[in-house]
Amino acid sequence: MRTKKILFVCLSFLSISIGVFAQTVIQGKVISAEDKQPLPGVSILIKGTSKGTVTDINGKYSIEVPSNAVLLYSYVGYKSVEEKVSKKSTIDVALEPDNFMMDEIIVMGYSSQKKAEMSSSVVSLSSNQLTDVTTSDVGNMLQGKVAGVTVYNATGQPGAAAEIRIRGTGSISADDEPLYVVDGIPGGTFNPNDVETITVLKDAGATALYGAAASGGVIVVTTKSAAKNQPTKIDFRLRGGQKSPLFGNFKLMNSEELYYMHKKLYSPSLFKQLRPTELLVQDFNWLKAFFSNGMTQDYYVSASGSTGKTGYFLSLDYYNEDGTLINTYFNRISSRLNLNTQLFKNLDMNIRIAYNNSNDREASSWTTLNDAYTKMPWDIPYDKNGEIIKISGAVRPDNGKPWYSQDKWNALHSEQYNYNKVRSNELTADFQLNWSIFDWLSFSTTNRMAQSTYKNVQFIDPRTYDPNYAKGYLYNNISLNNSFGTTNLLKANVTSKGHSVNGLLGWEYGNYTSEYTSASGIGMPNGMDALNASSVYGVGGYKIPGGSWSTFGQLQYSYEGKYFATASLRVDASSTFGPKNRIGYFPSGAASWILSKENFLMDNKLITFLKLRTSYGVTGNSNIGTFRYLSTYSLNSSYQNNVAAIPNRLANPYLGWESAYMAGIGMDINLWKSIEINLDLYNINNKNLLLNVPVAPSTGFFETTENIGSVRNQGVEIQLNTTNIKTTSFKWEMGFNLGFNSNEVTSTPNDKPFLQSRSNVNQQVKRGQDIYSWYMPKWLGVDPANGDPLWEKLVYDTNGKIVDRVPTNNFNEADYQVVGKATPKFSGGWLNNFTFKSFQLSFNANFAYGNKIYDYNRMSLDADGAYLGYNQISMKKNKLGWTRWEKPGDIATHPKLVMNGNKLSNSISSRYLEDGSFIRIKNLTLGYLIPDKYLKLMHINQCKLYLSGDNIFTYTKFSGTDPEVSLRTSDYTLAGLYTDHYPVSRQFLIGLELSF
Amino acid sequence: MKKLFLFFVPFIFIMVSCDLDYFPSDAMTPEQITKDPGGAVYITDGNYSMFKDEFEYRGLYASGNSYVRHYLQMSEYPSDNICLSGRTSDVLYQATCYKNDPTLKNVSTLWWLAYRIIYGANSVIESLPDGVSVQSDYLKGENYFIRAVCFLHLVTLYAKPYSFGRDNLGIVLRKSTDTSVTERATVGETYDQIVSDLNNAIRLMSNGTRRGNAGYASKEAAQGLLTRVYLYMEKNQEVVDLVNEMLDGADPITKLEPTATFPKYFANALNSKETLWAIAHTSIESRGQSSIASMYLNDGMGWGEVYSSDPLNNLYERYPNDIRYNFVVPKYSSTSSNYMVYWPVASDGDDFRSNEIRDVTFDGNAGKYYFTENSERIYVETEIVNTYPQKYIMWKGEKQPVRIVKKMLNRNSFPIYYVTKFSYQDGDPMLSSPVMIRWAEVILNRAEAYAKLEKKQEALDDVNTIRRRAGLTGDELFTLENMTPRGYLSALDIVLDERRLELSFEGFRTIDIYRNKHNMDRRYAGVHPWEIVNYTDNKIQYPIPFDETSVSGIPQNPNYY
Repeated sequence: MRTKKILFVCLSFLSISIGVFAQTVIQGKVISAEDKQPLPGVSILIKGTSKGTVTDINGKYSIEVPSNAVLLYSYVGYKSVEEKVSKKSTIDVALEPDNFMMDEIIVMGYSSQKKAEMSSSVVSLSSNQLTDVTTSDVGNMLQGKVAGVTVYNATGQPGAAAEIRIRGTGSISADDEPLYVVDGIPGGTFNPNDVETITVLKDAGATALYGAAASGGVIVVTTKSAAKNQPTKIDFRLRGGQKSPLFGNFKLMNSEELYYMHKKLYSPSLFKQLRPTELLVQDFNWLKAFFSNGMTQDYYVSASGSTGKTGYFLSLDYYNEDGTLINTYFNRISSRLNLNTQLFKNLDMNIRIAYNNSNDREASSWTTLNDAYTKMPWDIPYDKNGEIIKISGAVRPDNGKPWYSQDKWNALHSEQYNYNKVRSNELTADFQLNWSIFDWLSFSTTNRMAQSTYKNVQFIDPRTYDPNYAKGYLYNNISLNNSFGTTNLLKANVTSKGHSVNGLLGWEYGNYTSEYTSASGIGMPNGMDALNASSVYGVGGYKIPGGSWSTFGQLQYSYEGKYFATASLRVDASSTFGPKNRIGYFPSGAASWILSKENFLMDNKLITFLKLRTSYGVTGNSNIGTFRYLSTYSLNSSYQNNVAAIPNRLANPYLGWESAYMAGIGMDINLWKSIEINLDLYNINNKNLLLNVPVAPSTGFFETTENIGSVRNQGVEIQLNTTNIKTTSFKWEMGFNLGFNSNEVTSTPNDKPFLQSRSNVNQQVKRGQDIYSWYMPKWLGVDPANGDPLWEKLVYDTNGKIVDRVPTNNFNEADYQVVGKATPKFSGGWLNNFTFKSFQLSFNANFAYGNKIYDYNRMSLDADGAYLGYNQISMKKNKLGWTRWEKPGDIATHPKLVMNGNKLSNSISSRYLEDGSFIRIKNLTLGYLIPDKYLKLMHINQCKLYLSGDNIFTYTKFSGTDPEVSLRTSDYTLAGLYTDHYPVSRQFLIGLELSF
Repeated sequence: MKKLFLFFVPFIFIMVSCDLDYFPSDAMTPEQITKDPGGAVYITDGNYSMFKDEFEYRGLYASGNSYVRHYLQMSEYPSDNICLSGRTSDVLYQATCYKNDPTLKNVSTLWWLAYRIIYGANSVIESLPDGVSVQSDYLKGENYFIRAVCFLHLVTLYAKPYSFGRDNLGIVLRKSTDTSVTERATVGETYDQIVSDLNNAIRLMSNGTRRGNAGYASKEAAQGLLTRVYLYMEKNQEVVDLVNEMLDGADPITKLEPTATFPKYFANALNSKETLWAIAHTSIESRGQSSIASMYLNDGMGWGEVYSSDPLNNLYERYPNDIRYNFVVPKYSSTSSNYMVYWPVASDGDDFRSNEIRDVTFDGNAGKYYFTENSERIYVETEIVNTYPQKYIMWKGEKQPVRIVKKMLNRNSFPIYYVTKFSYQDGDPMLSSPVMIRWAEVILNRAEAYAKLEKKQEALDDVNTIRRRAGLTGDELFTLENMTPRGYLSALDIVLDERRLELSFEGFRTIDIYRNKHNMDRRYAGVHPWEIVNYTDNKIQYPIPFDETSVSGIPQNPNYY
């Protein structure tokens, strides 16, 4: 009774609001103009309202409308059509495909906009464009697909995230990763299979609205949800295949090559004593022992649909990837439920729940990779019965003979018992209300509660040899993370006589706590990996709280669909900074002009679309960790079991936001309806860098964090999408993107250069130079006369001017200088899609050019005799043209072999700095769509079978395993510094996609 | 609906006005710590802990990066006591070979950590007024002591010895937490400051008692350190007076660990009466492969790559009853009871010498060992030099001194002589609480002062105290009569040899040689240049770290950039 009353009230309310005009029912069918097939799910809106419907599976629809209404038909991938109702009762529509989707709605997080009307540089990708590559990480999927976005897979560890750089690196000490905005709220988790669209916001016109953390760019993710009146749809995706490690040009010596190399080093009597001839037949391939092929599998199912006012989307995914390195793997179960329902006529509710559970196992020790690369082929890790032996000293226990490798342990023995695992659970729940207050005004509130738990367990079994733990070691670390975020938006939209104004006002608030608890124990019995079974070794734990709030507003104006302008302002406050400089202001403005709608270009056959864009804005960065503004005494130490306080940091109460000032101009142009070109030019000045400034260690501290220094990134981006061939049975589409970026440090503290130094490898930060400039002695090759290593020594006059450059064989005389940079000159990708009848072939390639990698491993693996206990890189096998100096007159790349090293020839110099340019075929997929006639019998909508290969081919001159070396500088590593590397894999998969 | 809207508006503003002041849960601000009654104790214990803890420094691995490990390696490895058995990527290699440069990890870390400790000590010294309570004075005294230790370590490593002149460049003297001015004091000013700090420490710790075992400082520790400082300053009478004051009439031997338990002294140093101050490590603070012991010993765990040198072994072997040689453990080949000889030979194109090793056979008729070379027997001959037997062979027409030993294992031709002075606390081969000051040194400080005051007998008496504790008696002790036949020209030379035998590997050898203006004879096998290092050579000083000179602009030491 009561519900009926409410229903009655609602209905009457509805009839009042639209009862001014006579109602009429329109029916019809929507088909594709191209193949005359019905289009299900086409959205039909009564223009100027939020009311509408969608077509059913047969493309049919029915809607009650006022007689003066205009209907707007839109569908992703097709040009929108408007139809006046007048007195018709049936309206059939044929939609033209739109190759460039200028009517495509781009989701930008807080707002959505037609692609044609954007004033900013954004690139949007659909789910299909992403999931060609099989990986657990969305960054991997973006690689090579967006101009100006550099993605590097710095490790082959399963489950590891790729690194993403949008328009170069602007920060030195602060993290420069892009901000993910998932379903309207910064942060969050998602499964790549659930993605509806991903939008990369590259310039400040778009990113400034995210102010606070947006200086690295913004990646907006929208997850799938059911459309209104969508019939039930079930999708299956299965794929699986085999992967194998890729070692690139990296080849190690076998026992014979090593034997004859050592023969040249030792005196004859010592050689006879220390290197018996039996070594020639002791040839163990350690790489093969540590690396093997593995499987990748992904099983995905989703169901979506809607009935009446409620729609649902439900998915479940299981992803399992073996590592190629011994005992490593990653698996993940993720599921999502997106519910949308219309509570009242003008109030929608969305509920989204995502859950993730993953298990990750990494190498049991940080030395495992090093062991794989350095162990001597003469050391057989098994005894004569084939049992793995334990090594804990210079002598083998099984036969009393020497263990030749420098490090006196057998990691294969340890790998049997030891492990390092991470288990994680993540749950996010969103609650969203959208309230259309009036036709022109709406309010939405999006609230997210997220909770995650991680547990890391490291176990060193007492049976194994570990350099630091004789009695075994067990470490458990549990972290609990909670966060809450709310985004509240008030949006208004007014249209009058060609003028259209819309605006939004927003408020955000977020807080988080991360709690860590760790405990470790030693002395457990063999194989017992519970803390209860051990004696206490250490305990730890702490809590990091934090919070932020923001308010922001945006105003967008357009006139006659030709002229567009946007302005926004965001105010942010973050607990990262002290009270004195906590608040940051981030304004932006953007404008664009569609020239092709002007008379002089109207109906031009060549230029079918032309738009000019420009934007300017400021975004911020606060990714430096917490409490950097406070002076603190750290309490996590002890002396004789009493708590001890250690001075940790000097205070900087004025610490505040790092800001990126971005200016950009761009042009979008379509030629002949078959070529779309996007061209962008940008200039980004990062100022007030959050810089870890070196201070004199005699103060007791070696750095403080200050807002000082600036970096400029300038660049050009070209994105090209073409349809090269299009007949009824064959289609060839191509995408090409290229981003040039030039990086320059524009100021440093006191205008003095300083060094970024990790493991004694240096990069110099100096005005006028690239941010990642390698700084080390310059290698001049090998002296043909005597095989000595040569470096460059600079000769100065009394004014400190360089007057000459001379070679020296004395490393200590060689001068440090800038010898290259770690950032590429350009990077990009090339994508191709061929469709022939039911077959699809696609491949994508990506490339980078002009960066230098420092190969740290060569200091020990290519050391001219300095290391007698490490295997060496084979010069014969790597085909890089390396040659060894043997006799006077030899022109060689490598110095004479000398026992214990040739005059420090393996010291840090540009000798080991290598060209990191590469081109790689990232993916190749051959698909077959089973024709409809077979499917209809089984009530299947679509069925696709495919074969896919990842990392098919790589061309590079780099001598390490892979040229995609991390471009991130952290506490432990520099951008472009290559050390023990987990190789990436090549994989071949077979897949099936089914939808009902 | 309007109500709903009105409901949201205040909700939003409540959130916006939220307080964003958060504080860490595992660290205290200076305001918090000064308000806390235990604050000064926490910081003082933090100062002690920084001597032992491993720290990251600018992206360099924390493993092995501790003050005490770097200090003991940088002070001992450039001496003639150790033999490095192979090149290593560890920076101890550069220290061993005098190939230091200002960017090395040990050069930078030790400097930084010393000043970090000094900063901590200064904050306590500043926050505690004198005379509030006995405990508070004692705590302040500990911090004066800690600061003096750091200043002394810095000045011995990064500056020239005091005996070379007061005006040489010293170190940066941080006497407060104000770090705005950075300049190098002279060596003289530095030593004056250390003396002043130690006198303050002695004064403030003269009432009250040590807070626990020898891991904590005490008045005696400060006095002991002051005898070392006076000795380095050649204030010999002050050394004698202060040691006498410390002894207060007691027989020096009563201050030493008894002979019977001495072999276990270093494993148990924290609880020995002999220890004046040691850097305490608890049983879970064993550093494994990055421990101090690791370089000296394998025993299933360590690297075992640095050995007792042959000249030092020869010195110990003069008196087979010397129990101190038990801290050196030769690694014999278990499969053989045969003997071998070895001697250094130049290696091709390199600056160091490795060994030629030959198995020897006993010729019963000749009563000598021999080996066969090109079908010719080469006998191991014995001659007596300064009353001590010395082995040699005739090799390629020259007299070649050799060592003959039971067949040993070697690494890169260097016979393995492990050192166990930093091992076996709680039975753990990699664990010790390194002794920084002990009574034996104090007595030898007086011995050296006596020798320099030309009080030879008193000097020999102190030396003999130490020798008696080492299990030597009768003829094994020194007298004014037997010293000359044994090759000693002065009592000082006897004292220096005794210091070498007693304090080997404890970080004294290098400074003992150079401050007495002796040269370091490193012509023995090992991966270090075969050379005599002249005390005038600028390389005996470590460089000031590049990270320091490049930021504060203080002058670099000669010969470094």
